[in-house]
Amino acid sequence: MTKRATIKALSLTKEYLNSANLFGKSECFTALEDVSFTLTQGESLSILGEAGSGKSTLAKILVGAEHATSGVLEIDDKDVSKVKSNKHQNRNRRVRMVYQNTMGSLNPSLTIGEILSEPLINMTKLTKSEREERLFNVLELVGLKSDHSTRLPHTFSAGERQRIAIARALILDPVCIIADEPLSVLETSAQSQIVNLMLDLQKELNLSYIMISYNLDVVEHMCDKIMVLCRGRVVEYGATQQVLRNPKHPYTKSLLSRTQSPINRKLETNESEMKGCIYCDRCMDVNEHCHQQKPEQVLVDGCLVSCHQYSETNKKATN
Amino acid sequence: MVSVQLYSQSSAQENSGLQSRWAIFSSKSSAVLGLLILCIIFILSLSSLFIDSSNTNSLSTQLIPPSWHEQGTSEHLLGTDLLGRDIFSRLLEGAPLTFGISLLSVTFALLVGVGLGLVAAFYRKHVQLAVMRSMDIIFAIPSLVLAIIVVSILGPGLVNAGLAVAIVLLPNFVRTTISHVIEEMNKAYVDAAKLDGATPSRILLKSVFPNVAAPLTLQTTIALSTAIVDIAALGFLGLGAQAPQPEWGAMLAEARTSMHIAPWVVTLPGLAILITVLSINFFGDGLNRIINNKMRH
Amino acid sequence: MALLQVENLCVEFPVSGGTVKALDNFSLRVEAGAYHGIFGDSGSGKSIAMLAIMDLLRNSASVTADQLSLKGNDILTISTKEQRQSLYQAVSIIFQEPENSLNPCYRIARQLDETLKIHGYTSRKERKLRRAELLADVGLQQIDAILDSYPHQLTSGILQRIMIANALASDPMLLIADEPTTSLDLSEQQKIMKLLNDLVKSRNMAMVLISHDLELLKQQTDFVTVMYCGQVIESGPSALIFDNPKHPYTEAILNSAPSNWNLAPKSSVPSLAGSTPSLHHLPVGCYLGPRCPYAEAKCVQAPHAWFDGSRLVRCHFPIGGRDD
Repeated sequence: MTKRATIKALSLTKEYLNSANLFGKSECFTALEDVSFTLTQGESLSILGEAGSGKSTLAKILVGAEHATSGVLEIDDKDVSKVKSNKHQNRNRRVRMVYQNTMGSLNPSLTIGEILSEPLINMTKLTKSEREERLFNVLELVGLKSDHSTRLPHTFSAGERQRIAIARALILDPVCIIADEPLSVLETSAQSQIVNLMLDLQKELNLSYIMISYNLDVVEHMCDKIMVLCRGRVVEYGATQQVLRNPKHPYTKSLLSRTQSPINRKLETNESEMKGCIYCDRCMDVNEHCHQQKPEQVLVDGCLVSCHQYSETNKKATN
Repeated sequence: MVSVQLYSQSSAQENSGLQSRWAIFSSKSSAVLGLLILCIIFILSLSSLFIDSSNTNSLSTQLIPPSWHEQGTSEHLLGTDLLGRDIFSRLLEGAPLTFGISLLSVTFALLVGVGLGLVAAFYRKHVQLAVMRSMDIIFAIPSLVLAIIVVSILGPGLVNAGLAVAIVLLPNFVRTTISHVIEEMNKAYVDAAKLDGATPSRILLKSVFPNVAAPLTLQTTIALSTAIVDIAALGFLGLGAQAPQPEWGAMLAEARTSMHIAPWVVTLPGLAILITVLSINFFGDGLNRIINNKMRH
Repeated sequence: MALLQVENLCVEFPVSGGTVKALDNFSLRVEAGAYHGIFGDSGSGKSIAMLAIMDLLRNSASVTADQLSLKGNDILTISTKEQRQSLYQAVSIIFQEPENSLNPCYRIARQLDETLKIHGYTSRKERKLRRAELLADVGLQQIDAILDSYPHQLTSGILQRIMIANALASDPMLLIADEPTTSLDLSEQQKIMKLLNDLVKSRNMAMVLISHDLELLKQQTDFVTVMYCGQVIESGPSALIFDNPKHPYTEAILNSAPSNWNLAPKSSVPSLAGSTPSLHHLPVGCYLGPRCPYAEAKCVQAPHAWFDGSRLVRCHFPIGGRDD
């Protein structure tokens, strides 16, 4: 039986219209442009990119908090791109989110039971006893006890809070969980516990993960594919081993070697004027052509790369 | 930096919420004292509403000093005033007036203020602008001056004074509500609640309000002590309670003429106001300690 | 005589219902020019030990030790301004978040001036020269622009370099760095670490680096101390401890560090069960007992730290047995 694609994203684009400034011009900020990927059941994808690269925007579109300006998004074979996602009932319950900040994502005044019941109350029609049963099941799945449900978040350790966050994501039976730096605030001994928990859950429930993380060792161990974002565009997309061991795009290379000086999209004003490759102003291997034309996405050694070095025309030119 | 590291690891065996709150509150004796006195005043206020005291003017009992004075009698515990009325029973009768009206005034300001604040915080832009600017206008006028203006329009009287003070207190509640609700709306757990499918009203009620309740409680105690002083001040000026109502501020005004020969007539109502306001402040201190302690988590 | 000699340092904090022992018999011996590392998770006491050494906990905690001295001068009995001055001349500390270490209200020039004034640079001209010198030493360019800026106008990488410059102002013999790169951008982390190492080597300073990044400690340090719940559980030469850990905690942490996984993708990774106990409710006996895979009945008795000739281990049943 071939695995179905759990998530199919095709040319997702998200543009924000800034309200008119003093001179009456309203500017368009392209948070994401032409992002495409697929994710099958049980597969894990890692999104690599700096702050401002569009990975948070992509996550918001996938969970339904935002609505893509154009492009097609299919989750579990259902086209969700037309749905007006600002209606609270239409949240993508099939894709759930686990946040980086364990303390900040749990309401300090509510008990764990109340926090975990919230999605059930709002998005399912279960009775009180059915909700309680589901609550206890999910707590057990993540390694907590049912009597923990009456306690407040601050009485748990950071590792336990992350389990609670995972439980909250699981409680609606999703096909995919997006984890935004799930390990960064955890101490060393808790990190490996959470990794094991996530891997177990993936095996047991056939979950897919989208991991946003800078910890390359973790990414290498947990993810099948990596997608590298730069200024909202996909520059490289392929199997983990390929991208990590043999990066093609200059941005990927500098990111992995940790020599990339941060790109601050908020301060840069020249982005909308860049006609060519979005990395041309920082690239080491840049030439005239890069400033003029956007590179096409080419398949090189099983990875999709957007760089003129690998484009067909360039190959023809060098041959 | 150091203390956060230690206290952030709370144990699983924490006391039940109420027990630990009481432990923090009672660690400072002034807070407990404040609470005690407030309870006494509250009970006295309630009971004096139902007890009919016979307090008639009588020239024969004019200006009798308090009982501990050599010329005082045990019949009039705290002495009598210029018109021969027993001061102790007048103070008791005045409690529901001063304290009670202040309480009602604050309650009114709290309900309307929080309501306005919630609407403004939620609907943003124009509604928020309108609410904030009108609150700014009220805030810009000194509280007593504004109260006097309102009473001048509505006419003197205790209830009108209460209304005036409520208007004066409104901006504080609105501002506190707006700022805390906006702050809460930016929190990650509110985003998570949105993703959990919560409607806007449910988010406000379940996710935002529990975290705003604490600063609002604090604001209420501060408002109460302000209200008492303002209502007494209006009474003193003759714009609030009118004679012969035994409101404490009005009693102060009446006592002015006999201040030099019978200092107890002015001191005792003044002390009553002082003790009430101090108790509220001590109680508020205790509440503050609970809130600060909880916020550290 | 060692540069920094700490023996059985204990720090207790008063809390409602008693005290909390944040540091229990911490010992450290730093020779001039040596490079030490301290590893521990939250609550291990690593930062508190450094604060105690810098005499910053006097008013908030009870600090006791058999010995706590720098260059032979006892730190616990400092009473005069001169003694305090001489302590802070000899040792400097850099903290994790440079944004929190600088006053947001004053320009950089003024803040550096403050430090230089304290360390004896009385004339304005002297201070101006020294400021420029220090900032150049830490690899900053456009020094005038930086001196004229407020902290919020500069990136955290630049701010941390300024803090390093600040720390070097007094020409200290010992530099303590408490997680100096953790909150910086990844690209900055390597650069700052390289800067610190170069400076320490060129000035022959001793260095104590606190970090929870095992890779970093393995690469940089000569000696390492591992801490858990306020106690030193293993201490000795880095090469020895990282390649051949004797304490179960050290072994578990080394195994569970992502950089050491080297396993088939998506397979279970080694992990230590349970979570670090809160300092308010420490277990009886060995603190690792409830979580330790090698625990036996004897572990309900608190183990003593013993020295096997090359390292210190606090365990009844060290891995590989006792060599005494």
